[in-house]
Amino acid sequence: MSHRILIVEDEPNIVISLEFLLGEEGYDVALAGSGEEALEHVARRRPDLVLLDVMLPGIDGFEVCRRLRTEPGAPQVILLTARGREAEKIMGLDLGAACYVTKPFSTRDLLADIRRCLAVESDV
Amino acid sequence: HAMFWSMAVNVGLFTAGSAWATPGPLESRQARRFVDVFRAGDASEPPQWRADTPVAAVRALLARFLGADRTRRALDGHFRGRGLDPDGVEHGDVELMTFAEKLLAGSTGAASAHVALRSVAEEHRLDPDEVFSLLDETSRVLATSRELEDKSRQLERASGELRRANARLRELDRLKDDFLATMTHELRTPLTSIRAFTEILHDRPDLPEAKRREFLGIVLKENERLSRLIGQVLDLGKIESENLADFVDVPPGDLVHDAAATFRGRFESGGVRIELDVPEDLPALRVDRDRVQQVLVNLLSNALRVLQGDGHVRLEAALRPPGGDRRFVELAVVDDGPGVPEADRETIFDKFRQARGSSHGTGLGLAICRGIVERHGGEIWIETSDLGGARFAFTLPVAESPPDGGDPAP
Repeated sequence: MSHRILIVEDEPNIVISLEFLLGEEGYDVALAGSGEEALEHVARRRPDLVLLDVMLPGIDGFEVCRRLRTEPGAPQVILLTARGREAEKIMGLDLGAACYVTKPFSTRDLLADIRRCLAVESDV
Repeated sequence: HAMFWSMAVNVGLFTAGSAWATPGPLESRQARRFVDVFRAGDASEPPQWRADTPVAAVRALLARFLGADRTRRALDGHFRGRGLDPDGVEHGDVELMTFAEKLLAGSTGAASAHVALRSVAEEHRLDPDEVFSLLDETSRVLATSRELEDKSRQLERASGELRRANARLRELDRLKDDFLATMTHELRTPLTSIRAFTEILHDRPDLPEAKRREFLGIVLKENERLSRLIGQVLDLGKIESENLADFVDVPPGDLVHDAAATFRGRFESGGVRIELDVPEDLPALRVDRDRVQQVLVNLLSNALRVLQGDGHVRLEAALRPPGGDRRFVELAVVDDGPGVPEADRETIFDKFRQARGSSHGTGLGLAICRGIVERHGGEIWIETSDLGGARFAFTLPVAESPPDGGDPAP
């Protein structure tokens, strides 16, 4: 069974690129455009991994990550950000994100990070 | 002033007290000296130091004003200079007393030093000259203290100003940090799409032609977005830091007609009606013509965008009711689109404050408009239009009217 990944991102063109890359790898991909939508989707569909943009309209990515990670059986979270200050990276990891990816990212590195996170997930 | 006189009275009372409280022979001597004051030439009697003043008493007096260490160093130096053992001298002589008086004068003033040493030497007398000298010293001290108070008030004011300036600088620093953080985000976002699609295209030579064209199209569009953003940031920098170009007198009608002409084709092909409401008799404006044109064009393209090809736009110009010394013309771009929520009307002119999700703009267009209008001394704001949409209005100053006997100021 293929892994379920939720993309939370409000930039249409970045969504198109991520959707293409993950679909090509055979993942089951869903989309959310805001923090609220993401929380709702996770509660309903229980994805294995959430690719989460930090700068979202409404509830931001850090807050979504915090809320997700406090639940039992929480999905893995990879934070994506175009800000990329060191302090924010540490904050993201403290909130329980598995990794913190700065935009613009290498598509190959991102796919490797996703594979690594999902492998950890399967081991548990 | 009142303080000075109260000090004067106090010193006077002390003088009288010490004179009359002293019993017997001293009392009579005091009385004689008071009488002697009125005899010319007699007041300049040189002080006669008795040679039997205990050194310990002199030392204690000096220590009160100079501190124990400094006193010990000074007296030791004095005795050694005279070939005496500092610890072996018990009673001071005239030389010591003169030395001590000079030393003390540096801290207390000459008259006070003299009186203090005399009291230690048990020649406790005050003559009127000494009293007047003390009063002089006191008044000088008071004057100095008043000066210091003035200075300290000035310093307080200056430090208040500095504190305010500092707070302002901190605020500017914070705004700069915010701007940089947002700028970083705004630059990296299109770069992210460009890099992702470039890598996808690079790594997959066999991509279907339709996908290839779609992705290349996105790369091009994101490239344009990046160029536009950089152009606008530079523009904004120029508006904020440089002087506007030469100001010229332009009839408001010309500005409005030019802006409308630029857009007429684009509006009408899309089904948007554009109308002008500009009276013929408006006075000329004193403006940087290209920059004001830029404001109108920015506002018109915003309207075109929100109407999405269907609606109604009106360009207005009207003389503002005379509210101050300068007269203004109010220009406005009015549409019947969805309008701007009340809560966003203050911040919509800030950099990068556009409603997110509207990925068309750079978030700098309205900040540029505000910059240009404010550099002209005008204002820009937004309100609900009579057409149900938004009304973006701004004021520009009227050119100085020629001195043809204008009416006097009210």
